[in-house]
Parts: sequence; structure tokens; C-alpha cells
Amino acid sequence: MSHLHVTLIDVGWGDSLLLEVSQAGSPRPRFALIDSNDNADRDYWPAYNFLRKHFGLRDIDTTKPFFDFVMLTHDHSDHGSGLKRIMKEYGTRNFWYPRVKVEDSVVVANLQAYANHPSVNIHHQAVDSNTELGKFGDANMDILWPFPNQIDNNPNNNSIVLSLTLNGMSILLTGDAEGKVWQQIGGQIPPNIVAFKVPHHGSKNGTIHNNTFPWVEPLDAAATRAHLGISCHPTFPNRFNFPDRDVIARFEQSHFEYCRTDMHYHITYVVDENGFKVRYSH
Amino acid sequence: MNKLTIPVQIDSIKEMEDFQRTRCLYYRVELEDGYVFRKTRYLLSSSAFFAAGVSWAALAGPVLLDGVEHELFLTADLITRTITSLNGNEKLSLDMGYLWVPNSMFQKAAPGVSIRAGDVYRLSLPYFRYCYRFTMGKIPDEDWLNPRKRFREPIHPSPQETEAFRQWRLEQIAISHRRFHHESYARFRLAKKEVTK
Repeated sequence: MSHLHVTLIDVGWGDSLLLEVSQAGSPRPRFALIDSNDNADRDYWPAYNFLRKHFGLRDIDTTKPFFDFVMLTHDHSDHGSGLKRIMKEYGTRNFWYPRVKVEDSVVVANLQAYANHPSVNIHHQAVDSNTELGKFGDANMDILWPFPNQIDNNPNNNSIVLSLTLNGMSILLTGDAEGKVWQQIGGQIPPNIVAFKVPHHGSKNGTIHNNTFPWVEPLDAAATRAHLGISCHPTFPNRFNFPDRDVIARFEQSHFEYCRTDMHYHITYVVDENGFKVRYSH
Repeated sequence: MNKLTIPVQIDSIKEMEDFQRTRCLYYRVELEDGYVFRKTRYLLSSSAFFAAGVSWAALAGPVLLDGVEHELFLTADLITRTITSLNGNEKLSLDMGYLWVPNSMFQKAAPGVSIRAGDVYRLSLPYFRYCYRFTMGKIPDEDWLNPRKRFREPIHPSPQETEAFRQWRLEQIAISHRRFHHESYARFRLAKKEVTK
């Protein structure tokens, strides 16, 4: 039975997404990971602990190299902290990241150093919208952003925007790409989109640009009604006000259904032969 | 260096009206399966001990490499040797953590100097701990921004380490570039799309 699961792991501040997809002719699904934020002592490694519990509960064989790919959407430590530990624990066939400026390569350079280590030797490269990622199990993958040879001064705007499609349904994963990016690629949002990870934790910058909503409007007009997933934690002791109230108000104005990790904990999008559904803890 | 300080690299500078703080990255060394500390020169205890499940911000300096003591990160070569050594150690794991520092502290440390991504600053151990506790949610915003406790030399810029890390990052990009373009890597390279967007 073909299936695609995309789980927004509740990591508080930051993002971490576990991807699982079926592979025709194989009983074993394939897995990938996008971003990680395991900043803290070991009591708090949310992504790492989620993975251990998740695979343990399902008794999944995690022999290395376990992941088909690990992706860092952009060079910020709330998306890359702990990624090294996860790659070390599980192994990965590929590690992908966007092109970065030297001064902004604080996270990428460290992960490259690890991937290049003779005892590790992970295949890695920068990817962009001109890169053919091929298939991930039964699902098709496509990078919408960044465009080749474009590096923004704001690392958020170099975020890899990734589309996954199975059974004619697409899920769009957006990193922290801000409104400036969506003004350029909003028109490329797949018409058959069923789920959309809200960029930049629901911040104003991720959704509003020059008083427009460059990704909300295409979703409003899409053939399918996309579910919105927000990876955020505004009730964290130090309030960062994500998601922004004006952003939520706009979602509600358009009657979008949405989930947010601070309220719903881990959020899983499921695409299979029965269609699309959303699962969350509470 | 007589005083223990911890190097941090600027990761992301936030300059919103009510959110003037900078996320700074530090190196975190972790061990899971247990490690016996025999060399106690840099530890408080005089006895060797076994530690498991420990995560700590290391690489504060000085470090012993090949029997020679070095103040860490003053050259790209030292960074390479330290990180390569740790990356190849099965018992230890080197990862990255981050903490928040108020933008005002950078201004106090170096008035008139703009902070940039990738710059290295050194935090005193008490101040590092203070910012770490704030990042973990143990200190309220107001107390963190205006600490009642007075820190002695909490933060200072480290221009030599800034340049060393810049060189090191350039080297990582160059190594990755050479590796990617080597003919032996051809079969691992992802193809380009036939139609360019």
C-alpha cells in the first residue's frame, strides 16, 4: 500500500520533519529527515528522542545508513543543532543543503566537516531548483527554491522549498523562506496541494510581504484546500510571538484548517490510497 | 589565557522592536556510553571518574594537542585538527548548541562595532551559564536583559578567532567542492533538470 507520512516533530523553537514513504516492491518504507533542533542538554533532545521512541515503538530496523537523505533547509542553528548527532546515530545516504555565503556557513561548514571525515564519508551537496532529486520511494520530489546561483543575504531566504507528491497529492515543505521568496514562487505552488508547512514558524515575515500574502492567496485559489502546519512554540518561557496573531487571523479569515505544534504536539500528514488525513496528539 | 571563556559564533541577529537578541552557536561535546576521565589537569577533582550521559560546552581552551598546549581556535589549522579529532572519536560526539545573547551586550563589549554572522565572541563562564539558563527557559526575559547580578567582563570580541573560523569555513567549502568535482564522485552527483526554471 503506497503511503507518504510527513511528521512535524514538536521541537519547540525550530523545525524537524520526519519523512516516511513506501517503496513499491519492498516491505520496508524509506525515511528521510529535514532539519533538527536539539538544542539543550540530553533531557531535551526532542528530535533525537522522538526518532528513538518512534522507531523503537514500531520496531523498525535502523541499520546504517538508515535515512535516504538528511536535509538542512538553511544555515541557522535552530534548524541544524543536533543534526550531526542524528546523522551519526542513524547514518544517511545523502546530506543536502542550500548554497550559503561563507559568513553564513556556520552550520553548513560544521556539517560538511563531519560528512567529509574519512570515517564518515557521507555523500553531500548543495541543491537548488535546478537539481533533479529523483524519487523518494514512491513519491516524487521537486525543489522550488532556491534558484540556481542566487544567494540571499538573509539565510532564511535561501531555505530549500521542497514539494513531495504521491497519488496526485502534494505536500510543500518551506523551511523559513520569507515573503520575498513567495512573491517569486507563490505561483508555483502545486494546484493539488493538500498540506503546507507554514514558513518561518508562522512569523509575519514568512507570510506577509509588502502588505500581501504571497503564498496564502495561491492556496486560497488552489483546487484542493491545503491544511496548514505550523512548527512553533509561543508559550515557550521566552515568548517569541510565533505564530504571529495577524498571520493566524489571516488563516482564519480564509477558513484554513491548521495545526500548530505548541498546541497539537507532533503533527503527521498522511497521504495514501484512502486520500489525505492529518494526525496529531492533542 | 588565564580566565575561562567560551567561544561563540554569531548565528542569527534579531533586531525587531521588542526582540533585540542574537543567537550564538557554541560547540557541544557529548558522550553517551560513558567515558573515564583520567587526565584531571583541567578538572576540579583530583580523582579520575567515569561519566555517562553528559553533554557540555567544551573547547573553551586551552587544549592539549600532540603534547602542546594551545589556546583554541586561533588558527584554521587548530580548528581543523580539533574538530577532525573529535569527529573521529567514537566515544565522543561533537555537535552544535546555541544560546541567546542580548544585542546590547555586544554594543557594550565593542561600542560602535556592528556584529555580523560568523563573528566570534568569547563569553565568560558565568555569563555563558546565565545566557544558557535563559535559553533553556529558566530566567525571565526582564531579568536576562537587565541582570541584577554584575558580570565581570561578560563578553569580548575575538577578532583572531573570527578570522580563523572564516578561513576554516572557506576550507570546508573548498574541500567539499573538490570532493564533489572529483571524477570518483560522478556517480553520486545529482543530475540537473532538463528544463531550467
